[in-house]
Amino acid sequence: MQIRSMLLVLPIVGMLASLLTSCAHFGRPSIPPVVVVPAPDGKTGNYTLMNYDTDLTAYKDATGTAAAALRNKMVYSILAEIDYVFYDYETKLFLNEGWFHVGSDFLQLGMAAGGTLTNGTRGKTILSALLTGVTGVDLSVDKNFFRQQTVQAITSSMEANRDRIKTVILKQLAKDNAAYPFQAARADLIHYFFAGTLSSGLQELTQDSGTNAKTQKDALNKAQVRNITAADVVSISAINAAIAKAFADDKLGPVEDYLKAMKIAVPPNPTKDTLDQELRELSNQLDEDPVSREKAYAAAKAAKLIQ
Amino acid sequence: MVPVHTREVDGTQALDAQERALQFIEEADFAKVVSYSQDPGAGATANEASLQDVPIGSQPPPLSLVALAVGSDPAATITQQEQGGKNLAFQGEAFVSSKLQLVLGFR
Repeated sequence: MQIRSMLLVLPIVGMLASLLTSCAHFGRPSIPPVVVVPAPDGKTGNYTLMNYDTDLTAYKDATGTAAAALRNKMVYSILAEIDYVFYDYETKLFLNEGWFHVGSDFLQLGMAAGGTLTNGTRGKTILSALLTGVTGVDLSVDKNFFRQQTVQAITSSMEANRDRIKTVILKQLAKDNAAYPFQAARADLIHYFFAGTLSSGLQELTQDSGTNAKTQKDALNKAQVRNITAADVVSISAINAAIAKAFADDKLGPVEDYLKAMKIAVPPNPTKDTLDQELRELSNQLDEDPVSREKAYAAAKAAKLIQ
Repeated sequence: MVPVHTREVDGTQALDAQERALQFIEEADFAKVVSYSQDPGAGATANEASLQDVPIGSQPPPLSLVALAVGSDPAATITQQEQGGKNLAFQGEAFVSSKLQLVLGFR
């Protein structure tokens, strides 16, 4: 009887496990056919290296607006291919975050780009070359650094890089061919592609960290105590002594008024400990900010702590 | 354990200005300086004061600073100050007018 029950239960457990597994799995979205235009030979992408070569040959012989039009055609076509690769890559990063912790093969994608745009195989699409033209090049990456970064932070950094360079490219395309020849656009396109790679995202993050560290250091420099006058010392000593007397006499009203005048939130019927804590917090402002110092002297007078 | 905190003081200032800065900080923070030395991490000529909290009403006497050349023997200065009723509170290498000196604090 027991064996029969188990035999009945096992398929149900299996079905539940299967359901749970499928619920936890996130797949890549299907790419709309209008985006993935079947390329010659069934490859992904629609701007072939042969197209590129043809356009480049025509561009060399063209002048004026015709040259600019061909330049723009090539640039927009390659931009579209790079964008597709980037967003596909970004999706993979989010769906396979675990890869981050075990490998550095993502960098290979970037390594393939230079060759793709220069001497890739004829007939191969730019996109398929970008997608599959990975080499054995691998970079040693500090895995601990990966763990410290979230995928989102890195991809945001990559997108920021890309947006910056794309803006430059689009502005340049408004210029005539003499001012912005395809050779210059090609260099910018290579930058654009690399801006979307993991190495670029990490580099940007590192630079951001460096900038933040400098900002913090600047803030520290600003926070140095300076320009304290003899009158400042006299005034703060008088306030300190008056507060000490108020504490000793258990007459805390003026201390409370002083803190309130300095915009410090004081609870009703504060204890000495509470006031002590708030007074010490206030000292940060007084040491570093001359305006707060003047305000404190005025507040202490208004609260009748000092004359 | 008595709480300790730090304050950065501009080491480009002359000794008397730094003395006023430390006196002000002690009074404002309800604390006393227990060490004073350069702080390269906070700026090229920054000095750092470490302060120990004191109970309100127990503020120690005001500080006075003396600066000597780095590497010199402070013994004579300390003796002289003691004869005047002041004891050494701290000593350390700190910037005075942007120059590194041995700074002694007495009270």
